Amino acid sequence: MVSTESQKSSHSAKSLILVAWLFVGVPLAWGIYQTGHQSMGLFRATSSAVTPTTMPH
Amino acid sequence: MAVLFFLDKNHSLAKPGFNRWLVPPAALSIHLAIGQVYALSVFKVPLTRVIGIDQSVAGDWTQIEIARIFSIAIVLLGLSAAVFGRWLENAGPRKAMFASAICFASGFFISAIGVHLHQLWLLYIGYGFIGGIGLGLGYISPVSTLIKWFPDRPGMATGLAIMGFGGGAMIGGPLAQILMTHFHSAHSVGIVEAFVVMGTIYFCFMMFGVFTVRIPEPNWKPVGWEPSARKSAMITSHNVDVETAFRTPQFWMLWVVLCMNVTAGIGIIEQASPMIQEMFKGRATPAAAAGFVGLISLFNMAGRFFWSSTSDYIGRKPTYMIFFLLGTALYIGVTFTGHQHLNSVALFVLCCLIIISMYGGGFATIPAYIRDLFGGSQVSAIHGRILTAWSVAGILGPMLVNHIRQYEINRGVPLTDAYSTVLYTMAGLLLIGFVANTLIHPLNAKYIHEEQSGTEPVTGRPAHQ
Repeated sequence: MVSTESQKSSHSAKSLILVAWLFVGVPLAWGIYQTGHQSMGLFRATSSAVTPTTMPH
Repeated sequence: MAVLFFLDKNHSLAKPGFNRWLVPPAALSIHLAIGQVYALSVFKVPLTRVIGIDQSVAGDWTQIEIARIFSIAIVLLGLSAAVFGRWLENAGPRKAMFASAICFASGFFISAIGVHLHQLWLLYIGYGFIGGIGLGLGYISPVSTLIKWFPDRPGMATGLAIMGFGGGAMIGGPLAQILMTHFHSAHSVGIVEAFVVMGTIYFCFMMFGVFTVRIPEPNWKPVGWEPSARKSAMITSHNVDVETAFRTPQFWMLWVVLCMNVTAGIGIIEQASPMIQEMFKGRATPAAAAGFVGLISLFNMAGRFFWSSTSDYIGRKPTYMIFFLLGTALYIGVTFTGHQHLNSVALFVLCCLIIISMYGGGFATIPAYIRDLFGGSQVSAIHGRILTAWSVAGILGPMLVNHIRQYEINRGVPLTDAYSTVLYTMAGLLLIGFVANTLIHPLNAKYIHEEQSGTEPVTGRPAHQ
């Protein structure tokens, strides 16, 4: 009986930790996605840019 | 009053069985919120169009006037962290987090009134002054608690929280843009509504941290962990009071270390977009520059966690040695990536991203360095005072970069080469930081108060790991 209660307590603690991390993790992941999406501009712009045949002055 | 009673330090003491992994999310909720300050620039253009809506007209605020809001907030961050650090140690993290949430959200609400009435001074007082106090309190509030919960991995624990400050801009920037677009109309730029919604969201978000944070019992330690297992001359087993720490050479060397690291990093952050476009004219477009700025934010955040966690294994002093030596080499290396030498955008970006990761790492590793040198009892208070180095660097870094660049242009140096002297100057600053870090030695015994020793036997009940 005691071990069942302690198992329940352990499960609820793990669930609580998961919820807590999701609470901060989801907005952070959204922010990282937004920034990562913006960062793609660097690769698109530099890969599509024509490499100059002469050195710029 | 019942709520204030709940905020007392005694009421945030962890009950047996409390899992310490609930504390980092609590700290993150505060830092992710206050990190929004780095995204304040998204309001810059709309704030210059409060009257004209689609364009600036006579009577609208100028960008220079608006830029002062950020400056006031950052200066107040450093000052409030220094002033309230000691109070925080006595009041506990819950009360400090609550005060931070009240100040930060009030900053938004007062600023909303300021925009509505078109009174700029209300934005200075609101977001700048009161919000700035919220930033300072929020920044240092979870640090001491995290270090007490994670004596085995203090770098990783504080790195997790301070990483949130870097990540806050990534949430705050897009969120502000979505809200302003949603509330934009023929009669409004949508800032008033956006400020009110953001103030409310951030207050609720920070309340999660207030209700979740717990402090361990005195001298608590993780099950199976023995402090002596990782004994090092640079890690004290005693506790030093903030006033005593303030008088030690180690405090001031740490101050210089942080100041130099931040000054050099801010130089890149502040000029990232124009620098890449001017050094690689015709190759780096504005879209590429925006992407570069985004990558900088990501590496600034990731570096906070990576470097502070690494410092748990290699030590704080060697970590800063890497920052300063590798940073110096990379700053010099960046000058060779330009069009006259390697002409490589990829190498330029790579060097800058490593530098920025170390800039973030410098912020995140300093609390653990403080804990190693002065003990864990007053880390937040000492950290608060050392953060004044950030305020100084916030002024010094951009000023150095802008003045040196302008000086070079005025004396006829081409725009593509105008950054070389700037980069060499930054490398020089890092060398000063290297010397300061070299001079950091274990604390002299005369500063250690035996009555505050943290070496008593552990009496607290173990909590879950």
